[in-house]
Amino acid sequence: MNDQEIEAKIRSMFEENYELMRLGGGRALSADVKNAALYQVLLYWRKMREVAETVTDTEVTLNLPEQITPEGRKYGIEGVVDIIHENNNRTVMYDIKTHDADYVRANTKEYEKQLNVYAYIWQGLRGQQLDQTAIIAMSYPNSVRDAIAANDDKLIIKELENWHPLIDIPFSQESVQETIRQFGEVVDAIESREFIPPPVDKLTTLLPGKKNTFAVQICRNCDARFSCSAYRNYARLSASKGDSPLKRFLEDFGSDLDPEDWRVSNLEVTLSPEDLEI
Amino acid sequence: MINALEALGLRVYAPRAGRFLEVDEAVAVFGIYLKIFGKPAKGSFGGTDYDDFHKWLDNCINVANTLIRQDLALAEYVKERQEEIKTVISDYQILLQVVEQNKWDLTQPYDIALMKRSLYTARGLSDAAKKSLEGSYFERVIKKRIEDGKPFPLSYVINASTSVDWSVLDLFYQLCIFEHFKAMFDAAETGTDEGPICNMSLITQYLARFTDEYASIITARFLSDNKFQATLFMGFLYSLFRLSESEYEDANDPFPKGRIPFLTIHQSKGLEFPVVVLGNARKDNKGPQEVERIVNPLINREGEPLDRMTSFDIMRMFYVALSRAKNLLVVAHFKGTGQITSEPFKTIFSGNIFSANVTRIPNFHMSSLPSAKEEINDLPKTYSYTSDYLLYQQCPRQYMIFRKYGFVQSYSQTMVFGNVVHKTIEDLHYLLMQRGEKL
Repeated sequence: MNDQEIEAKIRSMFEENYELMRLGGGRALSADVKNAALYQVLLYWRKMREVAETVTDTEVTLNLPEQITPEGRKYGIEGVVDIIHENNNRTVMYDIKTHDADYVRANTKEYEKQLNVYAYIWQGLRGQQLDQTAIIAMSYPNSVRDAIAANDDKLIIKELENWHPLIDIPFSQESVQETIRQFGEVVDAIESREFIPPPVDKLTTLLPGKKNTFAVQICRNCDARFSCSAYRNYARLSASKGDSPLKRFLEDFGSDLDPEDWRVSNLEVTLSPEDLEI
Repeated sequence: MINALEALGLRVYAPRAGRFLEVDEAVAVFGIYLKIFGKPAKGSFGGTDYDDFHKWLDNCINVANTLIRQDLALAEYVKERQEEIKTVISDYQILLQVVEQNKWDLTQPYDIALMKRSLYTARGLSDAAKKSLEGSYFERVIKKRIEDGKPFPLSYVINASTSVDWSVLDLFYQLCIFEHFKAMFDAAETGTDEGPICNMSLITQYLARFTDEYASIITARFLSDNKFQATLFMGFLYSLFRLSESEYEDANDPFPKGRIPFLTIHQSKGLEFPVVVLGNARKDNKGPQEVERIVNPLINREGEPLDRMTSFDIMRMFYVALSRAKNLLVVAHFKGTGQITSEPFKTIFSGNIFSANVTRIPNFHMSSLPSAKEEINDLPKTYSYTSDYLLYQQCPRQYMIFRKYGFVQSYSQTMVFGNVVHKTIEDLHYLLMQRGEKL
């Protein structure tokens, strides 16, 4: 199978997965967003093919049973590793994120916790040392996007060279026990049904590595925001004078798509040819 | 008994006690939907189900009317949605007239140069429809389709400009702004009562099913001639009503916290509770079921004799009933004409065992009752690093609604995006690994 055939295959697999997900209750993506998703995979193949071609294991489910929370509940931790790569006696664990590299770099601490817990479980299960943990940040920069839009092959190659999606995550087992303890605390909180939303302060803070606040990035993508006390307080505080709070709420459809995109992209896939007749 | 407990402020949970659609939450939500989309007219044909369903519709509307009277903002909201529906239907008719006047065919490809102006300038067209017709994103999609040789038909463009911006599921989440519904979420957040939120979650699941099967977009064409109304109420909800689907049930966590469960003896099998009340110690022996009578002589096996089968069944049933309580079992002891107590209770209540093991309520001292302990489920659960731990850390409330209670999200591009990318990369890896093996 040559490179072109593989790219063709990626496109057809992507379409198939997309259709399956849409039929399974997922909603439609607008044309632009769908294209961006397809390009994340295509560019992963072009840019990271050395990794892609030497994957030895993918989607590995890891289980750490027999844990006990601070309040004495038994539980287990589960995680899924995207890629295990073994080569020349070196074993590397990669996790794929659909975020951009800047975001991942700004949140290294969080990823460090996750990958090191995964590494801990993996080493325990396999009885084998890991050598490295890393993240592949799939969201490509605007320079690459523009090169694709311009359909300029040379420029695409040049911009791909300037793109560094592979981010090393410090491999250290020192804080693993601490992370597992925090995990246990969360399990206790879930089991004791503590479900109060975060305070308004958190909603107005910028997310590390993002230009958006928590409210814009997280809350506005949450269908349940309308009934959320924290979001209502936030909306009240940030409302301009004269707006009725109700109006403001309902007009903030601007989740990840404005109403027009939403309508157009869903209509396109919702209506079958017969439906298009009036 | 339900009424007596509720009078004391104790809430109950009675699965299968009625149809799901008859729970308060469903009545309130669908009542508002009926106010927005209009109530279907009752046909002259009868049938008990059909009559009951129309009684249910009437009840929903009454409840909605009360809610609307109590909440001015809700009244305003419902009015706005009604107006919006009227507007898109009127826009739709106006645009169809333009098509007719120009003798266009709805199936012909949409031609921006030829058609846009006439449609856009049609007299009486709303600003919303105008905005949609000249939307830059829309135009880009249209041009792209022409380039790809798959132009949109005119009907598509008309439908797209005369649709409302929300699905029935969006409508649901918007309704939760209003105090009556918000209170249900608040009660779950603080752990005081999770009955309502469980039922609200089930409503989202039904609405999502409707959205998937019929329409994620509500077009004016669909709304015209009460087609949408008929599909939602007389098609979808009437079927649900006839199926008599029951309340929210979660196999892992069968009872909403904060409620006293009412169960049949069969439902209680395998469960234990600190205090159990057996409401009736009577089970009449009506002899074996007809099917047993027919089948029994035909099967050649050594089993329970036909004439004792029912009494064995009753014994097994009472065994289940009597072995559910951990600390206290209360058995109702009816007396008077027409009241019958079945065995073994008859013997227990009258014989010597009674004095030794059973106390009458006036003689019972609450102090002798051990206090109930909340049991920590011994079966360890597995929690996912990303979809439990990280999600909870991000927002406990979002975790509760979507992960714990399983509300269906109305629209999440982010989720579809991430899933489709991950799945395709996984497929690519398998493809490359296979190729590697062949080499």
